[in-house]
Amino acid sequence: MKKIVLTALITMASSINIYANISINSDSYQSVIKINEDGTKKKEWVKAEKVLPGGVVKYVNTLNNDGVETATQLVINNPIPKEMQYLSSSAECQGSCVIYYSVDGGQTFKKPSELFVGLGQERHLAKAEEYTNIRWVLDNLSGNSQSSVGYKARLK
Amino acid sequence: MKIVLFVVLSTFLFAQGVPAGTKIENQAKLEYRLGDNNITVYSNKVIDTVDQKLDMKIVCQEAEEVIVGVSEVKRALTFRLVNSGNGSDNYLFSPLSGAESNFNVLNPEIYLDNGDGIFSLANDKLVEEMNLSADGNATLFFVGDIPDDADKYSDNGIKVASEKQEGLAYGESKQVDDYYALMAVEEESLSDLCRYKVSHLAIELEKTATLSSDALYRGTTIHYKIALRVKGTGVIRNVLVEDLIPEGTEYLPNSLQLNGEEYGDFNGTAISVNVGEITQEVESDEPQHFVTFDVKVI
Repeated sequence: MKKIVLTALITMASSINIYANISINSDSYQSVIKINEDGTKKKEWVKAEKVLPGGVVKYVNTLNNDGVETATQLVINNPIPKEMQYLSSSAECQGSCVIYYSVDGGQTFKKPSELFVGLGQERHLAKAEEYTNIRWVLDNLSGNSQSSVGYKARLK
Repeated sequence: MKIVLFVVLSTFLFAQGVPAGTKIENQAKLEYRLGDNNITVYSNKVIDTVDQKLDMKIVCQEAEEVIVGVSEVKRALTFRLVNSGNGSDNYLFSPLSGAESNFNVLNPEIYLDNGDGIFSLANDKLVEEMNLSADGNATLFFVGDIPDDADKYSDNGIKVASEKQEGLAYGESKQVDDYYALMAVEEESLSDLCRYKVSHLAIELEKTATLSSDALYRGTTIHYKIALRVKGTGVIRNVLVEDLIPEGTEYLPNSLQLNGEEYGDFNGTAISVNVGEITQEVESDEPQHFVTFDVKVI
């Protein structure tokens, strides 16, 4: 009896370890020009500190799978802040993914060529600044690995 | 290794933009499948506070030099101040004189327009500072007196300093409340000059009277002659000569003439003659025009 109970306990402990623990962390960055002592300049992305109208912010969502099991069918939805305008073609991901956009607050998502706004004569292909949400779809994220998705937007 | 960081001041497309102090939030949602389980997690909320761009400009609004005469007082030059930043700011004004001026104006002052775009001592307000909201603008007047010995040109204007900008050079920032104010204006946008140009052109009138008798009696006709002389060279426009008929006399109808030809009006109390434009290309003491009219002693 004791042996069976022990085995059950060991089995349970092992089961806990195989669950994936995926966290998502969001950060914002802005572009700065770094001037070295020798006068050389380099453009870099640093944590956003001074956000001014017209300035560009890069948002990065980092996924971290702490477990050993592979997670599948990952979908990341990111509403674009209403004070920001999405910069065309700036959405990206590490590795492979499919990116969709919404112009109706996240109710529906489509590819850019399928996104329309307006009615009647005013109906037109949505411009990047009219996007309201971004969605990334990743097939999987292996255990003990990281990935990231991101986009750039301009402050109105 | 010393590293200097400059925030990229990108080309700003908008005069105003999201107000300073606004909190921008970004948060993502992740959904994934693990075995038979669907799991949803949220990211942290990234909150960025919009900083204030200190951006203003003052510009002279005079299309040409403003013509002034010596000894004239309270002559105005018009300027427009625009706050094209994304937050309100308090602006301090000081009069400015151009280095290449031929004379200094007296009693320089700055007035805030009441909205009609025309300088008026009665309606406009003497100011040393004012507050403008984001994307706000104001019309200001530099006002000064022209000295007796003024000649040629004098450049004058307004220098603007923003309270939040104090101590900041272009591209520098400092903390204001829970955000930063960043100086986005070059020094040359903080002031501007307009130009006074002195004209010495003036009209002198000399009036003489001739009696039809050796003394003044009832019925005596008085013949008045007004000579117009131009001092200086140039063009004077819209010249109008008016004169009241003396008490105790009556105007003799049809006697009013300009240079010997019947011309002008009598309204019951005064004669008026619209001489129009007078041009003097060379200095001369000779009168250019004569206005004559007769009255009878009653």
